[in-house]
Amino acid sequence: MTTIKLDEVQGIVFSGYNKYMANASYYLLRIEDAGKTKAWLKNLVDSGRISHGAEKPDDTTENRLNLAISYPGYCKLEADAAKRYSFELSFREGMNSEHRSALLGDRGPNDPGKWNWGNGNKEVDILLILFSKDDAIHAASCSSFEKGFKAAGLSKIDRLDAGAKVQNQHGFVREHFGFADGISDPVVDGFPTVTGAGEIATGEFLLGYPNQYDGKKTQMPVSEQFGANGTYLVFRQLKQNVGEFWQFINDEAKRQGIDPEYLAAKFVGRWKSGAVVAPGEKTDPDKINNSFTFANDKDGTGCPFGSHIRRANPRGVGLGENEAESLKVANRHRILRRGRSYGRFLEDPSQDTGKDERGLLFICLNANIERQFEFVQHTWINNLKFAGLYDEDDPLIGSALETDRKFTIQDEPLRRRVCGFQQFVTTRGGAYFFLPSLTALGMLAAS
Amino acid sequence: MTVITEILPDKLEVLKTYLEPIGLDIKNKKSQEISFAAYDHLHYCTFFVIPGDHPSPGSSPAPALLAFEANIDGEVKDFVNELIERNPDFVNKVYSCCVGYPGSDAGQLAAYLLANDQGANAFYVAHPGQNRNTIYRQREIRGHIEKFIDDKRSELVGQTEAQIQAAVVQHLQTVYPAGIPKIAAQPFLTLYGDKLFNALLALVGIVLVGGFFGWFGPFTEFLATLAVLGAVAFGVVLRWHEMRDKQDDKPWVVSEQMQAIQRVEDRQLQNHLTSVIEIKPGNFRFYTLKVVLAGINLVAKLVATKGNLSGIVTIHFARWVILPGNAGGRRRLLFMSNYDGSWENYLGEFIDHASVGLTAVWSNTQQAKDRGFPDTQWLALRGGSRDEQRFKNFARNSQLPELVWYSAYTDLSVKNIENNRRIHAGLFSTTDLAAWLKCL
Repeated sequence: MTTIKLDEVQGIVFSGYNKYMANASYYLLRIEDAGKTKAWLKNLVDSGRISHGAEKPDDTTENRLNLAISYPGYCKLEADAAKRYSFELSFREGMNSEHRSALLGDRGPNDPGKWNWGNGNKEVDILLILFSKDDAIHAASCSSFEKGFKAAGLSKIDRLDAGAKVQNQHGFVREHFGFADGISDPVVDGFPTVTGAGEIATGEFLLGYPNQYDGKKTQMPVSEQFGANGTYLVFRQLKQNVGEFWQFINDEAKRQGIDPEYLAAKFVGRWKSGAVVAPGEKTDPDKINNSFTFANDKDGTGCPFGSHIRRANPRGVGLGENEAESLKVANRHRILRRGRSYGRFLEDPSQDTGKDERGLLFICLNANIERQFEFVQHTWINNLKFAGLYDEDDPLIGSALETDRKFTIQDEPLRRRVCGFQQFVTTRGGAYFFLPSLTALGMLAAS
Repeated sequence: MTVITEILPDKLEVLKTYLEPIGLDIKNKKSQEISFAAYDHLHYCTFFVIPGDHPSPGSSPAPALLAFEANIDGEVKDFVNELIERNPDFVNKVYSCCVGYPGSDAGQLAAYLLANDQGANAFYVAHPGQNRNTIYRQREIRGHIEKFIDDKRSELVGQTEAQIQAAVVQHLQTVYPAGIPKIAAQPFLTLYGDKLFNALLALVGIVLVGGFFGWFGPFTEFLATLAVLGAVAFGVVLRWHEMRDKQDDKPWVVSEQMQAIQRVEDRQLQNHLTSVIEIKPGNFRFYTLKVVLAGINLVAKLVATKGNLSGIVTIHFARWVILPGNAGGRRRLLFMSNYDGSWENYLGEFIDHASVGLTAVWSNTQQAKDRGFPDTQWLALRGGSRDEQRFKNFARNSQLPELVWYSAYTDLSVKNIENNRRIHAGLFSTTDLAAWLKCL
């Protein structure tokens, strides 16, 4: 088991603070005066306010604070070109670059040109995440931070607030379409919540530790001292068109003479409860088991090949000659999710007036954006040829096809096919960040 | 075919200026110069320039080369003749920029191209025998069947497998009044090559082991002993080379030039990879590489004939060509591959599934003295491409941009093509109908 320097690693790596922190705000900041920002950063680090993994929050804990920096932000704080160049290419190019947009499926309605933030003159330098225990404490600390931005040489591009947390009967957080979310986050070696050896190597989510490739270490930016215990953070604001989704599901289910809940479950690959769809199953068994490999569902007659969860993590089928081989490959492309939903939850998901926006503030952590986040998005989620399929992307969050999307539901004796639906999730903003260790934050402040 | 010609130094820019717009326009097909789609024996083709000073900066300058890779059905000379016959202007414009251009006489031009065809030291085809028209026809047949099922599914699900098949066949008969296109038999080597290969391996094994212990007479014993001694000697020399070639630990990153290549990738379902790398100096590495490539070629011909090259299921065509040494004596290895999906996935598949074969090839190469392949032990058994990041950087930095890249079926993956063939074959089969229905 790997020993992690917990007091060096920012707390969000280990926890999304869902348990004790009801509120979360995401400040998207621009550096206007690097000198002042460095002083502010130094103060922040010295005061010990940035949360780290050695702390154990409980119900008396008021705040948690984490801070990540984008490439443009790093460039404002660091003049040394060699140091800048040592970051991985995707981070340097940025999520909104032409090449990355094409790779991620950010075209048409998802085009960075249409984003709320993360593009053009709304490029983000610093992401400041503030968690609090309750509304009153959150309002007070937000206001105190906001008052200090100007003196810190910062201007606020936007502030995104997480919405209320809705849980299902098993304690899993529910996303806006109505499904339990965050069920299969990787079990990482050396994490405080993990007993024994985890299934995924520490180095996949933290730099400076062995990764999934025979214990090699992923290249660290700047220097070992700076890079170790840091990781890359991917942030995307994903708007969910809940009304359109359920409208389509209901209409199509009626047309095909099937249950809408069944059709939606096939799209996701899980029932609303979070239970994976098993072969032959017609209703939600309401029983969660996450230790499956799809070995019992090799033909996809339960959880369809093209469904969201099978694409997001194909597990033990399809990536190699056997189960072990496939798992080995799948585990080289995992991401650690730490996001939250935003916007008001709809009482009746098919009645969405479209007045207020709702969706997911998607955050994931990974040591190599290209091999992990971008790979999952491009080679699994948006891949029209995934698992031998023909011309379909992820029916839930895919963005490879704007219109005339298809989805095959494997069945016996004949597959069922759903055709001609629209995108249900739209990218509204996003950026790549580096989440430095506490030491690295100190180095940035002193640079 | 792989036609390699030397570019006249003063014509390099002319050639680029001519080919680049054709490459950019390949999807729109508005170019008046040439339409590759008209060649119905052509699957993929590429034109690219191998720069004279690539890959090691600072070495003696060498002439730039034009490479033309074409993956075709049938005989090379037939394709060359057709190429010239249909688009003489194009061929003349391109090759008048090259050394040895014989003028516009079609016969001489064809002879010139054929004389410069380097073929391949190793060549892999995902689906041998699947010619382009067959691929097109099977795509079309599948389209008709899928639409039929979409329309009639509710009526069909209650029926037996044989009844569903009969309904599909009946429907296709209305689409093809002259008769449903027949399925061609698969080539002998596609069907039985792997058995042949295993028999061959077993035979060599028996002769070696048996021969060594004197079962087959003194001559065989002598040969087997020689082979064993040879293998031991090879191992010793190899390890000596590997220790001498050791890399430093300095991390190095992808160059700006390679980032430019990366920016045009992954926009479509398929990609093309072109890589040129120097072979490590000396004859030992050169001949080792030749033997390894001959082995890969044998595997490709006999074993990997069903869309799967040692676990990689995304390659349509791949070829390895050793370029003859130039004036500076540097020999280079050229690798070209037409594959499905992203570069990241392709390289990942190499590492995950084919580390041994791939390392056995590229551990004999380097980009420059201090830019070698990741440290390898025993040719392929340890290290090498398993050093994921270093290997990816090495691969990335060996790549060249293409001027023209054409694919005859950008919408079909290797798996799609095989599945379409199965769907077609299933129309004429009476067994395994349940498996056939799963292909739909």
